[in-house]
Amino acid sequence: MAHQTGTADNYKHLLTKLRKFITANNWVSQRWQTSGTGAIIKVQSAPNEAGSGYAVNDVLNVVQTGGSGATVRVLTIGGGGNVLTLELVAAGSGYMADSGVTTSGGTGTGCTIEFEVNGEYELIAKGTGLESSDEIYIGIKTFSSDVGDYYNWLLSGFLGFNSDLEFNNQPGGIAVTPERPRLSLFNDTMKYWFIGDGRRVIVVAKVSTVYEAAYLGLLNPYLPPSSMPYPLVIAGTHTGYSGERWSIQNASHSLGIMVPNCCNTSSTESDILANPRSSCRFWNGEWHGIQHNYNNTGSYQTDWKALWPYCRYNHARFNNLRSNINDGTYTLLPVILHMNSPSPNIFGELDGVFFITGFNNAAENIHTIGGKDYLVVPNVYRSGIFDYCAVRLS
Amino acid sequence: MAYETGSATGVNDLIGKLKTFLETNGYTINSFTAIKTGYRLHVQKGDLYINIRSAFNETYVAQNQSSAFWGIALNGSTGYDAGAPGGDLAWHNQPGRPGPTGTSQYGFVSVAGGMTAAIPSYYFFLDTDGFVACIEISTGVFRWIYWGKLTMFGNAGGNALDGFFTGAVIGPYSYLNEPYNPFSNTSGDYGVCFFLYFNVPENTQKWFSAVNALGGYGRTTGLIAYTPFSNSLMANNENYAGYLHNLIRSIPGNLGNLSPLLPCFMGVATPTRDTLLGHFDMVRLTRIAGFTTGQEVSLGGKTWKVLPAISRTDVNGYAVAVKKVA
Repeated sequence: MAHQTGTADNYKHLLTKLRKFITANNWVSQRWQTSGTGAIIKVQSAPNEAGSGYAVNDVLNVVQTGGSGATVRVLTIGGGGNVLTLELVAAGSGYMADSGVTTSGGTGTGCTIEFEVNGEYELIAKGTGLESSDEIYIGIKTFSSDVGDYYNWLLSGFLGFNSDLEFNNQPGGIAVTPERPRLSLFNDTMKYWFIGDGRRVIVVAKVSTVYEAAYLGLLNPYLPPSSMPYPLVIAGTHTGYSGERWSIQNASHSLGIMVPNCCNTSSTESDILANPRSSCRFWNGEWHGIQHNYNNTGSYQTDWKALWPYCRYNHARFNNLRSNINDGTYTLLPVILHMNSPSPNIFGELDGVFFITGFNNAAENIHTIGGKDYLVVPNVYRSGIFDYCAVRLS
Repeated sequence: MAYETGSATGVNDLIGKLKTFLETNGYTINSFTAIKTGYRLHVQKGDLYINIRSAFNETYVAQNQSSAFWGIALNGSTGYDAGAPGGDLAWHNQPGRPGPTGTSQYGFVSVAGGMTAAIPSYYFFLDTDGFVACIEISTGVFRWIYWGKLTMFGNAGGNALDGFFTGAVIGPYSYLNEPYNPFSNTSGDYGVCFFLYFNVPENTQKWFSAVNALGGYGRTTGLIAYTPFSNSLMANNENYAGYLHNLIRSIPGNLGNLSPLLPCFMGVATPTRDTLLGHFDMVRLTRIAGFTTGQEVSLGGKTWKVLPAISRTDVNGYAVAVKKVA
């Protein structure tokens, strides 16, 4: 399993980086496109590969299949003519955001660059599993509003990929109504963590002062493929019910891998069955919304589809839990997807996500347990004892 | 690991077989004597002391007992004193036993009752410092007694006895012959399913009581131990909330009749924080509907024997899988 930590310039750049990360880790990009003209709007000042033999003011052509007309200028070079910094000259069209993109022209060779383009991005990717034989389909679309000041990802999962169909109509995708899981990001620099293998990818992003997390891919099922062939989980942090901005603080804005909550959308348990709007969706022959509670209170348990131990009645036994008393270490518990009604089932565990107490704990702590590193992630803006999970980095 | 199964002519025959089994498998027998309608058995393994009493239609086997009892009662202690005060109650008034100190107090016990006739079958399981007995008191109806030390989370540290527990299914006050679940909680008024030793300053008695709320009448120690099973499968109240509650409700699964064997977590509530102490590694918990009675399941080289917590027809349908082969 691989992980990567870094900084992204904005919500679109984060997706560009994610695509690069997962395609290096047993995922195949099925669709990577923009809703815009493909004009380059920003070039990373530092090249990916510096090349050699360049001169200041060299103008380089951006070489990418489908794109034309974009150029960049060399601003500074090192002693061997290696490019240190460059800038965008001509935006061109037909490009798609990427890194390691080849250039041509100028006096040197070997300079590759990273850039972003106009429009909103769409990524559909296929995971090939741990043995490169699986077909696991996930999708992410960026969307934004300058008026609303939100810059987010829309998340989905599919049963397959059809290049003739748009995102919303891909086979087996989460229905457009009720709304799909989202990840609230923003149009500014943010720290991120990617964790992934060919079965699933986890994204954690620090957006200003809050933490967002997404899980796209398979859980670790307790049953063989003959009984549970495609245990696909798509989790974000909300469904847009109470707004889209990262700063929203209410029960409907909550990590889907912990407390997938749409309390505010449903005042009765029966409403939830008819309206599986949830920040965590699970495929078991159809898309299920995972939700622990209704009527916006922990004592109104649905028990329909839930994540143990976060689903406990009023968080009993886990909401006042301290670390191990003799040495201050932490015990991790698996996050288990199950449901009680309409039929009982225990499906399996989220892969690499664990319950951890918030006692004497803090966001971004790294705990080494059993030789593996775990990143502590809070539930968006919360900081109570019960409001943390741990994501395995190694 | 040691394992034995058989039948007994009654509760006093059973305690004799228990004594022999423990002695054969490395326990020190500090005392085994007849008393009133039964026997008192004091055994020791290292620094764990277990005090056991059988009774057959007897009304004052233990402090706080309210009615006649047919069965086995037990508690733990940190030592053995043949001259412990208490007269007929001295058996559960050993040094360091659960319950308040005081000349008129003789400690608390857990009981497994209803053993009014021959025992169709029993199952004894034993490992380094743990023991489990599943007793079929009548065809298809079971009771349990058990003790051991938790596999502690984190560095065990602290006191050498931390994580020591002894238990059965209920306390001696009332309903003491009735069916209750092992590793569960109930009202403190009815007594304590198990007692768990953990040496923290907040609990001068050192023993925590596996109940959903501290009862009156002095039948529970000062603080609560948290249990893996809930008292009731359908309860949605934190007072009944065993650690595994929601998961147990989802067993067996509609898909593949899935019935995971879940860890037997135990923890404690102190005045400031709760602590998940560890798990009893001889036991896994599940529901019996996914298994035949006595079914043996091999997982990772270990063999687990699955038996009903009470019976196959009990409303909760809990089951206990005990490690038979390590």
